[in-house]
Amino acid sequence: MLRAEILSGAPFRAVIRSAAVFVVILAVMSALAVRLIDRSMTEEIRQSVAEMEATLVDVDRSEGPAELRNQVDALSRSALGATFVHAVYDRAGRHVAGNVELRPEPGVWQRRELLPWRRPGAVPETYLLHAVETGEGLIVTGRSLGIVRAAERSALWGLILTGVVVVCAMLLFGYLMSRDSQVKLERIEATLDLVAQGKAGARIGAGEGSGQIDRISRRIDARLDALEALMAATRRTAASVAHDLRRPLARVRLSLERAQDGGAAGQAALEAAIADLDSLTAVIGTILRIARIEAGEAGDMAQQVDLAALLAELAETYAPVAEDAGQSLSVATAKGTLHGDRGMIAQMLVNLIQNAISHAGPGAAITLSAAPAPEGGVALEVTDTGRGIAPGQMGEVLEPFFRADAARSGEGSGLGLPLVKAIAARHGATLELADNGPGLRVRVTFPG
Amino acid sequence: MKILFAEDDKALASYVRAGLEEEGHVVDHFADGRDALSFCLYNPCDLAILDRMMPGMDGIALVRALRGAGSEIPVLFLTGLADVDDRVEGLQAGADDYLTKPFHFVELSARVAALTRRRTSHAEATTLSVHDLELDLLGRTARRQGQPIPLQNKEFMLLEVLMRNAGRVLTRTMLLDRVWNYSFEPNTTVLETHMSRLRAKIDKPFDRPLIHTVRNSGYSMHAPR
Repeated sequence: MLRAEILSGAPFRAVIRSAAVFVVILAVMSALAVRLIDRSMTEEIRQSVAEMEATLVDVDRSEGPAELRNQVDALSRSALGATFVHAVYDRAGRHVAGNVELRPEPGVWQRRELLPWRRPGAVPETYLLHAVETGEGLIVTGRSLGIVRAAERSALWGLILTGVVVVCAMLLFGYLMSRDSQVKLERIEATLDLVAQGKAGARIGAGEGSGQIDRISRRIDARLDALEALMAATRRTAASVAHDLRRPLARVRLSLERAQDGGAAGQAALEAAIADLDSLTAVIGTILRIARIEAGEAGDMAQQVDLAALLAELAETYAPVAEDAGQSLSVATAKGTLHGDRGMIAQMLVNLIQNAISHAGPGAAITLSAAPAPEGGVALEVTDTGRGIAPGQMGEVLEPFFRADAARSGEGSGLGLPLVKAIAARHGATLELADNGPGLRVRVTFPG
Repeated sequence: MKILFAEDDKALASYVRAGLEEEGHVVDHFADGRDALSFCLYNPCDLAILDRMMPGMDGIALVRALRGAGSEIPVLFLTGLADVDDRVEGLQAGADDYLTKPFHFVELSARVAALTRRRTSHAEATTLSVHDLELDLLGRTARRQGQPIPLQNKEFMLLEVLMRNAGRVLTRTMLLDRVWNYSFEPNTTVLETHMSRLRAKIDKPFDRPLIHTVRNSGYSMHAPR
């Protein structure tokens, strides 16, 4: 299996696409998060600066400028001196206390890059500053925004890490999925190649999975089963056609040899040869007809067939033939119409009737019926009370050239029931053979 | 009779032509459908025998063209397209009869005789008679020597076809075609059964038979000779 094939597989490409979308969404969300953090933390810092300033103004007002200077110096020296900056200027504008020297415009919030006082080696940080004028002079208060930058940085790192982990997991998952379907697709490909090479028994053998590929694989296997059966049937038919045509051909050859001698015997031999060739022509005609019907090429399927009239006509034609064979033929019920090719349906019934007459034996009663089927549609039945067919042979009699009685193989072409089967299939009808106790019951159920 | 014969298989054509000429017909043979059509449109013929698959123009188109031009010439298809559907198609196109290859020459000869006779036959007659046998087509009754003979429907139809073609040979397949139409293929025992029943009623009780078996061909009805 080639890596390139896995990477170009549909599941992997789908994962790549969703990973790209994920990265874009993550980037947008990160930018939003940073802005949110910046805004809310800066606001908090602004409030703490305002509170600190209010405290200092309060000290100035209630305890005087000297105390203010003390307090500011103390603050500047304390731990808070790292984050807070202070400056106090007197009325003359002199710097009198604090850890920073600058005079921003009073009453306006501003940001400045500052090196914190008394902290050698420190890097400049951004400070948020505010100044207020008192009776004594100017009080400046400010606080570092470094904490905001740190919070933003760690949030950003967290999001980037999440993104990297998720994208890696997605790619891995996509790769595995793609490899899985690639394995299955290659199995399908290999199976179809085998079938194309003539190994009709090859199957994909997909499991019980409910994935699309598993479902398709099971469908393909089912179709291959049908195809194999069809190929086997076709081979059998071709073999039996060849076998069955050889015997009359051999007879024709023998007759023609005899005819070479001339005379009355020769004349009779020629006539026999012509009769054999005629029956061969008829057999080939029937084979071609079955093939055309099975290919769906024959017939005008839109005709309305009046079953009462058809059964009456057939009974009129075949009752005398049955009587001559010592049998009786009658119509039980004849109701309904069906859509299909009248000629084909007549031919089907003719074949079933002729089959009954030649196989049921003397004394049998043959019955025709057409009636609505309980499961819907119309059922045509030809039943007899003759010898019937052994249960094991019910399927075989529908195969071309099968003859139940091998000793009487001269009778019939062996194609009557296969033609019935082809006509029933062409009409979407089901053909059932059953024991009539005694005799044979053939039932053809047409869909409604 | 003047017969137009269109067939592109040379061996078959010369065989059929020789056979028809032996029977006294004049045969004009063409191997191309268009040539046959133009000849037939300008030279009156008594019968056209057409192959279905020919170079130039196929038989179906030829018949349609002839019928479209108002020609009522009887047409017999002689073709390898043997399926029931092909026959129905041929007859619907306007042909009068349909014979499939391979065939016996007697079959062709009998059909040629039946087709060329058809226009002069008593198509409008309501009774048919041969010797002392009478058939009333409206009352659907048969009488011989004045004696009524009850007939089954198929027996009546069989007798009608035989009497309409009295004096001519009708082959088994012609009788099957006429009585049981073209839509399915009953086997020949059907015809033999009905024929023997008809003979038992028409001929057996009387001194001279009217229905005669013609060896290797079929049946013929005629007055005693």
